[in-house]
Amino acid sequence: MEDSRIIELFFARSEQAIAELSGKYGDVCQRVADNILNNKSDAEECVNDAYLGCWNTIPPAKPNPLLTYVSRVVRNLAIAKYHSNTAVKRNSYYDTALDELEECMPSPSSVEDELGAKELTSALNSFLSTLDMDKRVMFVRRYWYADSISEIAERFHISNNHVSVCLSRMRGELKRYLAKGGYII
Amino acid sequence: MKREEISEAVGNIDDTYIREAANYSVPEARAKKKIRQRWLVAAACALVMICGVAGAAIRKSAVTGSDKTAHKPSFRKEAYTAESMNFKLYELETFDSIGNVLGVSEYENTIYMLDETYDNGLCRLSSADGVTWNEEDIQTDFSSDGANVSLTCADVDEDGQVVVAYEVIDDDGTVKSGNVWSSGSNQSVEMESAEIKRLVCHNGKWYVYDGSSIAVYDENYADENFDIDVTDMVDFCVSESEVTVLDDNGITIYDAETGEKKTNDTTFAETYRDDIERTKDSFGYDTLSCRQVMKYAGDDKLCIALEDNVYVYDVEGRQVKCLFDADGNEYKTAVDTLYGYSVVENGDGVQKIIAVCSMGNEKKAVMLTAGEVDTGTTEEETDEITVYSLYYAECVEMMIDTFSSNNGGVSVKYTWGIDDNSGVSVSDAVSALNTELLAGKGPDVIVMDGLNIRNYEKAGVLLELSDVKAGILEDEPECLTEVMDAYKTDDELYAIPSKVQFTAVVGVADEVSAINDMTSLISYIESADKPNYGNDLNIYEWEELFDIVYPLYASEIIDANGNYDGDALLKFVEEFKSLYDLEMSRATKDEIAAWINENVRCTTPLYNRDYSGQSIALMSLNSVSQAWEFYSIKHDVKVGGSVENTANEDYIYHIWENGGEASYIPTLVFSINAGCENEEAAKAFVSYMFSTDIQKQYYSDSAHLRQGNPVNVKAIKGLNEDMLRLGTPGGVENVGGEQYLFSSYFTSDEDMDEYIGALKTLKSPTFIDAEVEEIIREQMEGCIDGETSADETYSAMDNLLGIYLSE
Repeated sequence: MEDSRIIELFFARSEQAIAELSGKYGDVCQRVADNILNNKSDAEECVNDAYLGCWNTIPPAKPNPLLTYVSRVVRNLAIAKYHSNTAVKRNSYYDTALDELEECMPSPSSVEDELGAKELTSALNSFLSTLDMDKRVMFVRRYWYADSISEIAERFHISNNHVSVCLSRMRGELKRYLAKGGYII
Repeated sequence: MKREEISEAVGNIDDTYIREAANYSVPEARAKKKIRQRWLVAAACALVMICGVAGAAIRKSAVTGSDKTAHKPSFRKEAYTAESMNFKLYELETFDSIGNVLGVSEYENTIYMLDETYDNGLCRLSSADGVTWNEEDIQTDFSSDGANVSLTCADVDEDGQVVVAYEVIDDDGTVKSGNVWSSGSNQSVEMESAEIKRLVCHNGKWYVYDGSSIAVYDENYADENFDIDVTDMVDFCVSESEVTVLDDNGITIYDAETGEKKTNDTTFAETYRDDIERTKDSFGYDTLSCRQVMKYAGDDKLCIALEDNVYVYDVEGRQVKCLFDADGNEYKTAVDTLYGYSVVENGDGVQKIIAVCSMGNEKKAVMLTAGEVDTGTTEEETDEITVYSLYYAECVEMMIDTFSSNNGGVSVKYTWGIDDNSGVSVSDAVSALNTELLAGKGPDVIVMDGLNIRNYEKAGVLLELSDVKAGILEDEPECLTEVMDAYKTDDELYAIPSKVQFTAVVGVADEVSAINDMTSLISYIESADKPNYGNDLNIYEWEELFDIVYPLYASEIIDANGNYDGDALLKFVEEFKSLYDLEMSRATKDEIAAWINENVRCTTPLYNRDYSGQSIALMSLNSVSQAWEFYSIKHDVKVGGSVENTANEDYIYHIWENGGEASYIPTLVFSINAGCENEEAAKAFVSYMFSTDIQKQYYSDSAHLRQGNPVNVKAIKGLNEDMLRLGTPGGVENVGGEQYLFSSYFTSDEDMDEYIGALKTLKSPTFIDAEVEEIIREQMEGCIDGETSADETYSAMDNLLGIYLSE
């Protein structure tokens, strides 16, 4: 079913909207939550909360694209749960992905020089626009969807080693890009 | 920077990229590691790029409006205007299996592209004309010890051997060493510098650029002869006697034997400074591929491919020509990243360039030339079929899309007789279809819903489909054969339904089991207490009631063979009017208006009978989600509670019967035109409509094309498994201040099995002729409004049907 039709169902307050939403994007949502939380039941709870979140926000929201909207809701809920759950061990793909990104943030020379989240988002968007689609998708799958290396390798039909190297080089490029682009003073 | 901030920053990256990453799929051809040999070369492909023999079949690029990424800056006219050579750009080949381009070289009249494959291997593609490419894996041993290796650049030496620069990367991502490996010696040499950005092999020497200098190694490769200090270089190239460097200082020529600086010309850099800057900026566009800018074109000319144009620089005269016009040139518009290229030069100047580049998200070989080229091509042959439905229906379009995306060899075009804007009547649309079919033309596959199938059978315009059905059952043995045979006559089958719906009365078993006709339904309602909420059936629009009730009479009014029964028509008019009037009498107009605005389904009040006082529903079960809804009502679970209420535990859906057998409406019925030219493709399309993949899809309702449950019950199970993988999907019904759970899946196998069992009991098909339905519906409006009596309405219908049937 087309996104617009699912939105219409939400607007008509038809529960079928949830069924359609989960039927179409459920797998994506589940994987995002699972990658971040590394806990099936927590992830399921997040996904269901996300459906409820969509139910409560559409209308008035009329998201386009719907996939991005629901993915964001799931990711936000999962990360909130991740931060609130102090018992969570640092063993999810999300942790590993964050560790990798942390490494490629250039060290600021002073506190004032430090990049804020908004600036980094802007820099990341700009950096992603310079990559070809394969590399861009690989980057986003790793650091937004928190996919594992092997999941990415499977998606791209390439070896784990190749993914690691690609990501490593992209992080290197990002580091240089941030430094050169004046994002770090 | 704090982890939370990094997380937040990444979380807010642009929607476009998130969607792109979600929808991305690796091209099938890449998975198969094959290069598509799409362009079949016409005539002699003696187009040789190095020695310059001409003639190949190539396709001119459709470069206008090409999807360029935002990073490419707009062109600005330079103060210096060089002569344009009026080159054009032609696409030669699209590569599906290429990972990263490491280098583009030439050797003995052949162009070589060295490629890092997606499994981290090395591959060499060679071509004599840029159109037909041969692929060869190059066996290397430098990663055999498990080292994390990243290939950086490559070249072909004077013996045709592949020479590759690679970095060994530590576990933490840092580069441990830079190395060069040659297929000739099958040995690696570790370079002094860990980073290798550019590698050129010439005259037994390796020229290795690490970002700060070009180190030159002799044929022993062990000792460095000399180096040339260059920083922030754009590119360099090597001839027999010279090494030429392009950087911010211009074009500088060094002695190839000693490294001594010979000349420097700043003119080019000054004239094209902006373009040079843009070119340098572009080096990161494809992080892992090479970017070759400068090459020798003959002994005294340099070819310089920048971002906005390609220039030919005369070393002696220091004159510049542009290959393309400054304004709107195809090179600038179409090419995103130029990886490398080969120049064909015949002494009078550059004749053509074969380049490997990225355009949009594809890697391509292109030709740049001012010469005439043969644009004759042979496209891939695909079977083309046309699918027709009487009314336009989005669901048909979506099914075609699904088929097309999974069956690349068949192109499907969708046509229809009537849409909301066409103003075409049913009879005109049917007449047009008939004319075509009888002339041996018309659509290949016909969605027969609404059409009188028997008439088409008699006319001999449909293909016999017993073999198609047998094939379907072989692949999908769990299909409802009874339903698939709805249109079977003797041993012949000309139409196969792919979906099925049925009408049921929902309520307490003891009460609704006795309702087998309209009279008993009306009696039940009359004897029941008036509901607290809504009317008894919770249906307020006569058209909605018509859609549910008319199919119950349709086959009695006109049967499958076209036999008309006027008494059955009169009975329908009277009983439908009675039922509608009864329902309207159970509520005030204000209440009806309020309920319509609430837009709830007819079954919703059953969630809370104490509140609504409603205990019955008449509904079409036209999708699996309707079944989910029924079982949600039956289990009656409040949100937040886990214990089922028992108020609805005796609920059943009693299937409307016809002659003592459970009746059903066959929907999405497929036939094939007997005159179909692509019979196999048409059969493949029809067969695919019964596959589990497509049967478990829920397509949106279309106003004039009824949906239904899958005839392939495996799809019901598959859909449930899909839903269960999501957790516990569903929604909430708000009724009378209480929230009830609506589960979008079967919460128990018993429920699912019961539902599948019910589908298997369907025995008596109802056939609906769209023209008859339209006549009856149009005349019914006056009766509902009270403008005409039931008898008068019947008479009008009877006259019109008489005319229709006589035609």
